[in-house]
Amino acid sequence: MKRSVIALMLSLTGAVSAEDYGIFIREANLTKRDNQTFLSADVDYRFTPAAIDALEHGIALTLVLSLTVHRERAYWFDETVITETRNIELRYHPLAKSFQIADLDSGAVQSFASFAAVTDTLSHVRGWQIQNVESLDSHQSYLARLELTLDIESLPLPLRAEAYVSPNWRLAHPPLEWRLTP
Amino acid sequence: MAFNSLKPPLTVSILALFLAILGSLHLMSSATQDASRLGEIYSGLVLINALASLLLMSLVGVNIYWLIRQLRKNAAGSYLTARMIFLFSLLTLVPASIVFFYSMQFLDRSIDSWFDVKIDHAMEDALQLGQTALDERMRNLLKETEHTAELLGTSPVSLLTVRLSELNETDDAEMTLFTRQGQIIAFNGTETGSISPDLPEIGIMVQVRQGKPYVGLETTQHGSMQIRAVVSLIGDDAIFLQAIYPIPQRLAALADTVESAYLHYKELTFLRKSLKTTFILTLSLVLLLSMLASIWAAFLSIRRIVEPVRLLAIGTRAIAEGDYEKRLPVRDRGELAFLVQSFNTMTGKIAQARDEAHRSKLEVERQHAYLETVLTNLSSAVLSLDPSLNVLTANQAADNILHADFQQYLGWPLAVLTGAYPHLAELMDKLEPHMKGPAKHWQEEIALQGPAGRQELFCRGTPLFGAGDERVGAVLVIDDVTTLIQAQRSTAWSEVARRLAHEIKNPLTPIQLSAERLRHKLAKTLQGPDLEVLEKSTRTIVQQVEAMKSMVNAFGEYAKPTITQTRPVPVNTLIEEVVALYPPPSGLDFELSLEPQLPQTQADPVKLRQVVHNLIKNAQEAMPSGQSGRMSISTRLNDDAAPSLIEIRLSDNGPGIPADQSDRIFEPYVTSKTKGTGLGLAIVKRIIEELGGSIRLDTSYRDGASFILQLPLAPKTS
Repeated sequence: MKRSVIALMLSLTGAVSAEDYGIFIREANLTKRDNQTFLSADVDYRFTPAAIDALEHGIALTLVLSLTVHRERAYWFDETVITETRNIELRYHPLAKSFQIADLDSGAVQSFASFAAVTDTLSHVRGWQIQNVESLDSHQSYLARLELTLDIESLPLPLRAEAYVSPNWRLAHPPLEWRLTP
Repeated sequence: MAFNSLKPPLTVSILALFLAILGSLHLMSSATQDASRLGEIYSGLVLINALASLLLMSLVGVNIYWLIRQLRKNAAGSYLTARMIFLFSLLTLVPASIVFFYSMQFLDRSIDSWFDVKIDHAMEDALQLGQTALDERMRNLLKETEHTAELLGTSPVSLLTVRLSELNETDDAEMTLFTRQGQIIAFNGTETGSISPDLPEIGIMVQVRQGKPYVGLETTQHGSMQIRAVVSLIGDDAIFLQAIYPIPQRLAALADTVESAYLHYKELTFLRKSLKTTFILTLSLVLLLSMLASIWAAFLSIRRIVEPVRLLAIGTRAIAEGDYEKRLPVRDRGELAFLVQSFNTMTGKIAQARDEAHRSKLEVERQHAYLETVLTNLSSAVLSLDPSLNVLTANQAADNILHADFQQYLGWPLAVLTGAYPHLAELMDKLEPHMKGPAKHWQEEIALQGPAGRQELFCRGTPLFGAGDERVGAVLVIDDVTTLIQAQRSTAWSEVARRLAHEIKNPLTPIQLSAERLRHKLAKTLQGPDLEVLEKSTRTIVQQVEAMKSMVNAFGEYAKPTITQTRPVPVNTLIEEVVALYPPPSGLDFELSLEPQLPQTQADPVKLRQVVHNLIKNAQEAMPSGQSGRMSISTRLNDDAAPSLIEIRLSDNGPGIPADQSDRIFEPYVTSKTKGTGLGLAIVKRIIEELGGSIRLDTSYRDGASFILQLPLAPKTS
């Protein structure tokens, strides 16, 4: 019991070494077009067999893509100035034998015949408009952090404890960080 | 006090904690049971309960550590606490473990009972049935779409829009014609209500471009189902036709039911193990929390229960160590508190009794000390003996009179004492029969030949009896009556001398005068032998009367109270002066060993000179005629006595004094000599005593006679 609690805490802090499985953000950048800022990112998905198995057994997986921009402060914790989140749900339909990507924020749904098509679609994040970037102070130094995680809390309750503890469910990796100069 | 009253009572805080734990446990178990909103906070609840377990664990740990330390220190009440805690924990642990074990079994079996191979198959079959039905429809629709594409393929490009609407007139499908680049050529949406067509994904396009038509079932954004078919136009593979057919509502509803049921069942099967794990986790947490809480509560309550016992143990220990002032605080009501109260009363009474005992002991000690003081200052020797004649007590006077250190022999039998002091043997032999004899008071005068000469002792004895009339020993009181007896004798002799002088001296002068007158008268008338007889007789009478007169004078001298005028006298000088009067022809050789720095004595120098003269003369006269004697005179300061005394020792090498006379040598007419009046030593003794000193014969001296004089020191002149 005690050990599992400690393991749970360790997994929460994200101290996980690089493994064969996981969600790796390869590249990300913010580009300005027509006075608007868009995020593009390339992500490499390597879902664990346990996660794919769960998906094929009708369990929806929720991915959370979050971008935060911090203003660095020497004297105190960094100030978070921008927080943008996208929640994406992956589902499986046994009748149609198709996979679905649902954007939980907009409600848009896309169907795919194979899981490979799903990860292929998801690996290119394009044209995600980020608000408020224009208002950043150009004299300041900012740190952008992009994170893509599997939302364990939206898994069915019985699976959560296991997902927190088991390496079969360990998909999280250190977020990608880069310096931002508006 | 104010702080105490503000602080919530311990029981209330414990109750609050328990309620909090119970609440969180309840929430957690509710969250496990259904997919309510509580499910969202399940992880948090698990964490909170785990932290609560940790907290309780550390509390219990601290308590156990405390208990072990108490046990190591052998603290009061620690064993009782340990035993009660052990028992309590056992009583909690055993039923809880049994319940836990059977709950697990039950859980395992009931979850397993949800699943059945038949249902499993039925689910698969239902899904396949649905799929077959839809597949059939899809095949038909694909054919239809291909047919439409064929018809469209023959039409020129400019007429495609019109042809499309013509062909789609009867159907409720959404038809789209688009190029390879995704450019829409014609669109005919009827009932879907969508403004812009929903183009197929890349994967489909790849397939279609390779010449393979696509047909697939899809779920729309709104949850309804549709069939998408994509084919390329015959004869022109740069233009594609996509047709999206909605599924009839009845069929869609059925398919949806089958799918959702299948999914739900699949999910359950998949989660079977995890569900068990979750239930076990929850149950374990519940058990652990309640166990820890109850053990902790056990610690708290047992400590409270044991507190009076612990206090009692501490109190008893304090009493065992002699601290009777210890009072224990009475906190609760009940039997144990009553015990504590009784303990306090008891210690109070013990303390009181001890104080009284102490007081009476002090009183006894005071009385004992007083008695000791009285006995010490008593001039009579007081000895107490037990029935076996062991010396129990002896006072200072006993030491002085009997010349023995009794304090060293307390508790020892008399035989040991006489072994150490042989001079007491004779005395004790005489006393023993009295003390062992009949139980009555007795008294006897006994002479003791001690190191200080002969002593007359007046001994009295009383047997002691205990409460049961048994003999517990005897008390012996001894008085040194030597001085008293000698004084009585002196007084008697003085009286005799005074009478003699008075009665005899008076008729002597008429006798002498009458004899002289007789001779004077008859001398003229008588002649020849008669005259001779007369002359001889009267001369004899006159001579004897003279002798008698001198004798009576000497007697008178002895009897006469001397008027002495004392002043400080240097003893050494005085002795040297007297000795100078006896030159060698006198028949005595002197050997002087005089201590220099000898203090002066307080005496009448004339009388003291007479004493020395008398003693020398005594020695001279004791010498057998024609034999020269030797006399040694020594002086010293006797520091042993208190107060200090000047000691003069005069010893000769004459015949000495016979043992039978040694005790009465200082009485008149006790003499071993042929010459002298027999009053010399008597006078010496009298003078010395008048000067406040003493004289005795050293009986241990064997070469002749030896006298020891002791004189007081002259008072120090400032």
